[in-house]
Amino acid sequence: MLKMKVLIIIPAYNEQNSILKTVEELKDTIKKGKDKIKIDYVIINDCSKDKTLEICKENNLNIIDLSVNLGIGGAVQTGYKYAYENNYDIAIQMDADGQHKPEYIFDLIKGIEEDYEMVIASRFIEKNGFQSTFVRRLGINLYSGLIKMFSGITIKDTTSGYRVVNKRIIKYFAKNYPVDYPEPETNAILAKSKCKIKEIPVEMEERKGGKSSITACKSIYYAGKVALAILISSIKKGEIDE
Amino acid sequence: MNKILQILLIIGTILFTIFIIVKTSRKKLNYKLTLLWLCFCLFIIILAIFPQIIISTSKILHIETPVNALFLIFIFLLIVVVFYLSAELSKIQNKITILVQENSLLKKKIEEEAEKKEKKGM
Repeated sequence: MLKMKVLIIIPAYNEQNSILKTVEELKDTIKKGKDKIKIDYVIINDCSKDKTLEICKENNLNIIDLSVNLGIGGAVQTGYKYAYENNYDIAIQMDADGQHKPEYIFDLIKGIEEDYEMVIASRFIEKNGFQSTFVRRLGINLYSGLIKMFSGITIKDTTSGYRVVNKRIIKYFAKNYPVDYPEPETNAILAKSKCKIKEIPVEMEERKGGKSSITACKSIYYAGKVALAILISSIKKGEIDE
Repeated sequence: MNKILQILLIIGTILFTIFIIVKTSRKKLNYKLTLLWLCFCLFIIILAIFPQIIISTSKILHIETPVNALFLIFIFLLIVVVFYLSAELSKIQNKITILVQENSLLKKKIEEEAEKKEKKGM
């Protein structure tokens, strides 16, 4: 089998305290598996107001710098566009704040080799490690229920930003990606389009630095927005294949 | 509708129309939107010249005073315009997102090329 090209997309917004450590850990992990598979990473700096850009430049990290703040969706999509243009076979999405341990990337990639189209790293399968706050779990379960209702597919950790997709989905994401809080929405669309989705159990940590982009007031808006997006995507038929 | 209201409406709308045309000629307003606003003005002038339209509308809808019917029609028109504008705004937002992404990817490509050349030069 040909060596697959893997890209790890790390969106970063005001992550000066954690970005270097995250990438260093990631590089160590990549080294361990370098005989088997070629893995690159790219940081997308979403116009951070702190020193994220300077730190990355000083340490010669691979970074794409957005000239205007686009929000998490627009930043991650830039990564998918980069993956698509540079012909990567697999794209992994990972947070810069240290919540996602890099050791799981091989498990995620294995899922794609087993012919799944998207593999999500899920906190709620073995229920170890950081389990998020009660209110967020409530939201996650709500989205999970909605997706189950409209597509019949069970996704437990619908908001997990740690996931891997194959080439077909990279192409789709490069063209279509929601602006804010994109994970549940894209999960719903893929589930509705009958993509093969798998969840693997992981442990997540509490964030080391930075703030969650989700505040109390926003979470109500997001709950409504995601529910609406899931409803609308359920009206549309499978839209992935043009 | 009384005569004074009619005259005020007509004068106000004519002034507004002149303002729109001046703005357009200075390229501060696109033709697409100019057309929208000119239609809006034309509609108001027609209502002011033929108040029977308002009076009969208010009778059909059982609205006590014709001026309230006028308000109702205006509010409806304004909602249409605001909705149209918010749809345009969404379109522009999507376009900006694509532009920023393409721009950043290009910037990245140029930097990579420059680095390659530097390495070769050494």
